[in-house]
Amino acid sequence: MLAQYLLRFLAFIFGGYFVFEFFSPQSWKESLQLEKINPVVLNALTTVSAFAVGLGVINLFITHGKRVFGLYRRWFFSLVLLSSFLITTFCGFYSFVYIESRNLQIKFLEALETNSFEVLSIKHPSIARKIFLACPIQDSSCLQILKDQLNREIEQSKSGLVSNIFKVLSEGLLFPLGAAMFSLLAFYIASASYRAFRFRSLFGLVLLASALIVILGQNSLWLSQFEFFLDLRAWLLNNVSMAAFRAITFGALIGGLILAIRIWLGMEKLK
Amino acid sequence: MLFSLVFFCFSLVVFWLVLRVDPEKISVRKLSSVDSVYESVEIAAESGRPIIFCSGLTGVGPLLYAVYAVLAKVAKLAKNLDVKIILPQNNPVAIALAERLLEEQVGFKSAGKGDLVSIAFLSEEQFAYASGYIGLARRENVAAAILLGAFAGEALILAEVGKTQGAFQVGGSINPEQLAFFIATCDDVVLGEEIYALSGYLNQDKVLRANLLSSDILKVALLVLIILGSAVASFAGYFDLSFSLAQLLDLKY
Amino acid sequence: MKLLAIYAGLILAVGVPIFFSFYVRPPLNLAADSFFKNVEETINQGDITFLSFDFGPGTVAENGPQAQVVLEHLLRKKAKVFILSFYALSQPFLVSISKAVEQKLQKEGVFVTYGQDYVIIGFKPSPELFLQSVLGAKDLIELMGRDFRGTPLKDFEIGQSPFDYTAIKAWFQFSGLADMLQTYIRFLETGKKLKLYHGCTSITVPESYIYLDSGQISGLLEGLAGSSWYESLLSKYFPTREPNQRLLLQFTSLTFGQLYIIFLIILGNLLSFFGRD
Repeated sequence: MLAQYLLRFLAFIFGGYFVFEFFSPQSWKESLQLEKINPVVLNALTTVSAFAVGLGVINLFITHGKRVFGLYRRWFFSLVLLSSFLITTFCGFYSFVYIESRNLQIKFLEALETNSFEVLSIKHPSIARKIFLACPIQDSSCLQILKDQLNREIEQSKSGLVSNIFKVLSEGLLFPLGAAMFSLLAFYIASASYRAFRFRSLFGLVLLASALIVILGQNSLWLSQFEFFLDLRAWLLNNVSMAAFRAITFGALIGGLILAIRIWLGMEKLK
Repeated sequence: MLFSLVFFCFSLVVFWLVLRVDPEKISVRKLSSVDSVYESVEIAAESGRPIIFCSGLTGVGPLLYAVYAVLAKVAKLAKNLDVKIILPQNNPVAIALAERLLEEQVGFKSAGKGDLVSIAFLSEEQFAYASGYIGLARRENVAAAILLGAFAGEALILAEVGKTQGAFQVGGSINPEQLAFFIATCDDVVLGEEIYALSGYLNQDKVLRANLLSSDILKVALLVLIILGSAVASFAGYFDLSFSLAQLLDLKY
Repeated sequence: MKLLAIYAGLILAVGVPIFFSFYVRPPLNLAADSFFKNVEETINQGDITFLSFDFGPGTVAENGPQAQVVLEHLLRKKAKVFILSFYALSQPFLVSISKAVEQKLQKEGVFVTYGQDYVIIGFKPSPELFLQSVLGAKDLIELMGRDFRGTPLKDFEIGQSPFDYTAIKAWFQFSGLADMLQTYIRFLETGKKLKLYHGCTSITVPESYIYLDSGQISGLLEGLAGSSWYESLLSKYFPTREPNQRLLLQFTSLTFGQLYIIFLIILGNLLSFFGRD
């Protein structure tokens, strides 16, 4: 019971912050230094969302892990899903950490041009240790050779085995699959247009005519050469369609506004 | 900005006032989709096949709460009729909400019917989610599908899968462009804001009724403003004045 | 069987132009025409512009050509272009499209240098955070920090002079994602503080008209039809330019596909009329 009240109180406070931040005048924002607080709050929200992805991952592992270990029907596909998830995650993190560690060393080397090694090693002891091991005397030629080597390693890692695996999985598999799924829409639109656009009533006829005008208006057929036809298409989109879209959008947004107020005031319970 | 603030304060006042109205006096017009929602569960029960409840790409927010209010009703009916309910999810946080709703509040677990609920996280990616849904719907051979929430380009893909299987479908989206696809493929359609009205109708509750009445009052207020704005703009245009209601409402402070 | 025949017909309709490599002239698209003229008249040499490639592999077929033609137009006008994205899957396209445009321009003797004429900022998470910060930041170079490779923007010529949002002449946003355009409009006070141009997919065209009419966006490219007309206008304004054959081929396939859809609608009605559904 106490936890519920605490949650509602916190929801009210944080919701109130965003309401205040959106509606308050600029002078109030400047005096309260909201431009410094806002990024912190938004970063916190982004962090929470990132952790929420972990919930999805846990669910994925539970659902598909059960299938794999229990050797249920189609367990092989669950195994493919889990292993490709793990491989992609590993390769992505590996490449990131590999390149990032070398970038940090390069930045350290560049900073040596204006700062002393001792000063920098206090701030970045682990990087200083690595560079000291590679160049104990820190003369300029040794440091330049080290910098070139690090740049080469970054380039190699970008074309290395781990990077290539990541590239195959993301650009070789994920991208074409995503494009293929979107292309399914074309086929489904074809079957839906054959099935659904029927002249059964006056409204059906109006719908049919509007659809034909809009499609033909952006086609290279002879109809689109007539200015009247293009004006008719523009009129349909700018007036009839827009009015309908605005009406639905207004309704949905107002419904959402009231529901949001309910959630903010803690009146919303899932039941 | 002034207009936004005034409108927001007006919404708060309206909601507060409407909460004081006796809920018995607020009558809600029955939507056709109410019967369709019940019918979908009954069809699933008769055929002995599951029902799939898809919330699309709805993130955690007011819309998800409205969709889950409908889910609660559908789930209760499914529990009573021993119908398996499948929830493909795209948002990890929504999984936690759905689990709590179905297992604790609707009471699948306490009734010993936990195996009738299947919540599957598919993907946060739009088309990966769509491909997961296609596989799920086909493998489980669903008898009915309820698609409510926010949908993007994958709406037609989701709806067409059920259509080709002969499933009874109820579709609804707050994205107007997706409604056209649902009209072409679903047996009944919930238009935009009717999702909120549907959740209010199915769950007879004082706060939900107040929600419906408040949103109706705000819509009327907006309508009056639109008519007023058009009249002022026409008047200013006729007499060649450079004045509009938009300029007045757009005052900075 | 019936469905298979419908799908096979669609493949044929879309495939014929690709197979026989012929293309048709795109028709006038009023929105794209207005978009082009706005850019041509308002963007000048040295003007700072932002391009957001908020599309992934699903919608790259429609948004990619839009981004390409607009980027080419801006680089021809010698505007300063900052390219970024709020969608993680668009990262490869940021580089591939920019490089393709750079190479095309170089073939014609229009030299464009990375770091001087354009720079790729890369993927930025959380559009709400970034876009809110844009209006408040005194120096956007400092806000953006580095390019997609990690090089500080101050190391490039384009990042030498600090600027705030008032210096942004226009922001071009290409996306088919739900709610992405609304996020820009919500935070950037477009129409009042910033000129926003939008390239959408065919599905979101009717919704985008709402914002075009209210002035919250200053121009709209309607999917492939819009980018095709934009492409033909580029060829008209820059006569020595080589037309983008691939884009015209794609548009021709789209045209044939649409004609096929019309044929299916008529066929479905005729069969229904004669009682043979």
